[in-house]
Amino acid sequence: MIYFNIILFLGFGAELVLFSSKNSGRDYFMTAAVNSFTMLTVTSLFAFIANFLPEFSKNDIYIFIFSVSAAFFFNQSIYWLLGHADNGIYDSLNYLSCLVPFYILKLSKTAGAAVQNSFGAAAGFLAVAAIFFFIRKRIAIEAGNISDFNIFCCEIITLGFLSVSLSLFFKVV
Amino acid sequence: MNDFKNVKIAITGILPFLLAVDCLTSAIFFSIFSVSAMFVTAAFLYPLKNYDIKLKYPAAVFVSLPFNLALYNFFLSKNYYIGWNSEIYIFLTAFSMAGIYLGGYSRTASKFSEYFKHFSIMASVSVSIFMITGLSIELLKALPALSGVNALYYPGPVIILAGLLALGTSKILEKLI
Repeated sequence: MIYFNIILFLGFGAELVLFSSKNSGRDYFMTAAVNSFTMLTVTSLFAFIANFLPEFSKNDIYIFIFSVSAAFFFNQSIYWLLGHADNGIYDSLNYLSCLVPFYILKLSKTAGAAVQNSFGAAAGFLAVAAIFFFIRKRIAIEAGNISDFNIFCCEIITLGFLSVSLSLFFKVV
Repeated sequence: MNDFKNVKIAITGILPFLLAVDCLTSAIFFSIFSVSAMFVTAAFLYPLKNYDIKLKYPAAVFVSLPFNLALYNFFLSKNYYIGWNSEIYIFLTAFSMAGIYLGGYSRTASKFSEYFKHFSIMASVSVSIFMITGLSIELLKALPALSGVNALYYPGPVIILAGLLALGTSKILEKLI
């Protein structure tokens, strides 16, 4: 349960910050989609490598350095190909695409399980990012002239409640 | 300063690591690792403020990694309990969102004192939130009715607590600064 929640929210943290600089939904969803795709690609790539080079997968330092570098270059390349103008540093270097592959690879027992988990994480992340896009808009409308920081705090608290409800749901199901 | 962007980044940066805190000792160690990564990243990026190369940011992450690993090995050799899945989290803490933010902020900071003020605020906010979470876990552990079940072992209540602490921090900072 904790594993599921962490996968979901490690990436979401960065997006909470990213949102403030992104006024259009297109930029927000493009960032979320590119990072999810990168996370999926990097995890699959390293799971594939680990399948053929088990010695490589035993060294945490190699996996960490290569996963962060690969995620950064993948993100930069995709943004360059898409001609995305608003690529701040957290678009290319965030928890979701850089750290979640390392986290999944270390906690998954097999390469196949790592790929499956990364699919779940990408889908979960996209779903939560989409939910929060609308929740934030709603909070901003309801709250009137409340400051940006207070909206951020409300968002974190809502995120906590979402986590509680998801945990209960998966425990029951 | 009034939009508290630095506090926002500090809280977002430590949010994933709050989920790994399971007692006061691990809270202390995670705050040490987070502040160490923040310091090393910010110190690495400050001299490079005039170079507009994005590669310096991942490089800063790799520079902070050996410092965190050295601290981890030092505490491990002293037989301290560092927390849940610390062998994985020690790598994750090397990625300091606050340090990267400070690196970006250094381009616009007029004086070093301004830069240091931002660093101090972010570090103190991170440490206080870790400590309050660790203390709350210890308090809940001490309640006999809750023996074996601690709400703060689950991610949801920890995130709600972080949100409430963020609100409280902003009120305190508004009065102080």
